[in-house]
Amino acid sequence: MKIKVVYFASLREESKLSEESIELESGKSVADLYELLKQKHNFSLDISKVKMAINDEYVDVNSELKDGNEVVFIPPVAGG
Amino acid sequence: MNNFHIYETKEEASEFKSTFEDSKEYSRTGAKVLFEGIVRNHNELRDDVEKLFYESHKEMAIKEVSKIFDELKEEFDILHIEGYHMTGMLEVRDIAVVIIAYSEHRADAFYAAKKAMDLIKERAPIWKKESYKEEKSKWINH
Repeated sequence: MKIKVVYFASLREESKLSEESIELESGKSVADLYELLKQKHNFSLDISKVKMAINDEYVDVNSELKDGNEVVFIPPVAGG
Repeated sequence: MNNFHIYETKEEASEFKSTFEDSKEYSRTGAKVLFEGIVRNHNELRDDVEKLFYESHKEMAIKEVSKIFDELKEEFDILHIEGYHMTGMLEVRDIAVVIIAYSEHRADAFYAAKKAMDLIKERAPIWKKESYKEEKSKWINH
């Protein structure tokens, strides 16, 4: 399946990408995807510090991905 | 219509005006609480903050804060709540965020404005990078 990943803030800087497309075998969770990308891009943030969104909605880290999903990993937010 | 906006320029922000004040329902308002979050020159650990860079996932931030506003309307007796957050580079003394809450009696507008800010800080996908006088800028990741 094909997943679009969009990066913001520290993850955008560390990956040097705004977005990328990832080919993934089915049955993988959004957490699996983060661990894979953490290794690929050497992300400094541990998974426990990152929230996840699929198609602009916050989801549980164990949520299963589906073909065509757009994933955003959310580093600790700091609005205000 | 969304009641929360993400602005990228001060020009956009200067044109912000709550449309609620043109509505018929505004006549019921007895209290209007305006909160402005300002860029300060220090944080908990250091006193040489020069600038702040804010970045957002705009669509998701608007959606999430609109949800927060809906929750606050359930929890408090408010007539309307609206606001905006700036993104891009801001300097000390600049306004970073504005929340306006309207209610018939003052307590609800105060409480709702405070809780709106608490929840925005917790849930809105908005990030902040601090620039210092003596050191490389860094994302606030805690």
